[in-house]
Amino acid sequence: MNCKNAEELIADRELGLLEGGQVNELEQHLSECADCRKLADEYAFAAEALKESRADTVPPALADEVLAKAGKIHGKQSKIFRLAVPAVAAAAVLLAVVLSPVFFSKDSSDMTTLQVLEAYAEDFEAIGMEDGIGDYDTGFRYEDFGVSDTLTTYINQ
Amino acid sequence: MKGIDQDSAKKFHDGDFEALRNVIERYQGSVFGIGLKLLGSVDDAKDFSQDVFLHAYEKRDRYDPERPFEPWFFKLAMNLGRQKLRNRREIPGSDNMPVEVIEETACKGVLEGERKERVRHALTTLKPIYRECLALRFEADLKLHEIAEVLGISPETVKTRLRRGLMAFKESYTKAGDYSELQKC
Repeated sequence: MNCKNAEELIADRELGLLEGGQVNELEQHLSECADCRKLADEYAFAAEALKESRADTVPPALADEVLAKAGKIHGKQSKIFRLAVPAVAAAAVLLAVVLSPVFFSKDSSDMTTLQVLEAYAEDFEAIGMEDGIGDYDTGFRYEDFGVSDTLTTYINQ
Repeated sequence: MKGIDQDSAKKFHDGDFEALRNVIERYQGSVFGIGLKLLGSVDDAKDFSQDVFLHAYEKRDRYDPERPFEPWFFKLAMNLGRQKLRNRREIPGSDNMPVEVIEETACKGVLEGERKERVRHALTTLKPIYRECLALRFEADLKLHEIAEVLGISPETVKTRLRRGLMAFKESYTKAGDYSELQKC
């Protein structure tokens, strides 16, 4: 073993990375080389300083400050959750009510457009919204949507 | 290293506030120490520690509670550490910390704090890739394969970086004149 190899093993020893057979090998070299023994002392000294410099104390307020800030995040997330859940639930109920005729009253897969609209009307009547349908009948004009008179006549037929 | 148990990790993942408290109590020493070794000052280490815990809490849904907690947590910490070093535009090997000269007459009375300060200064002269390996080894007590997992590199590369890091640290820490003086203390 030369001194360069020895230095690597000395460093490994201080890092706790030396493997079985290397221990004896290094010891043998150190017993014969005064320069490497001095080097080994320096490594031991440096490694000890690194170990002793561990942060055995932390700023006393660290945990409290982190928890206080995390509490705000936690609170914000809870608030969003508290507001969002009822809002989503309300929207879902409203949507279900509006779309229920389509999904629950009749199977519309083989119905014409007119039959679907009639089914809508029946369902609106059934849930007490016939006045709304009346307004729809009287208030709606195809012309308002740019449909020609000829086409309107055809559609109405 | 002995970390938090898997049950606490799962509770942390679920947003349990008490589990966060456990995580802070268990890891604040390691995280603060890593901050000191990476960034070199108490103030920066404190900011770093706060950021690590808050960031972990905010991103907890990215942690897979079926897997060990430490690799995920320390990976997040090291990424934040690297980001802070990048923000500083730190040049590896730069000498951006004031050197504290220990007075010969005060040698006997060198305080523990001054020694730690000298260690921190020596660390700031190392390349960040060496610094982060030494920090994970000496502060978080991580094993070779754990450091490899945190940093996403092979255990062999970790071993090389640790070795070179310690060599460079030894050179800086025991540089001419200082070693004999420090030894007397």
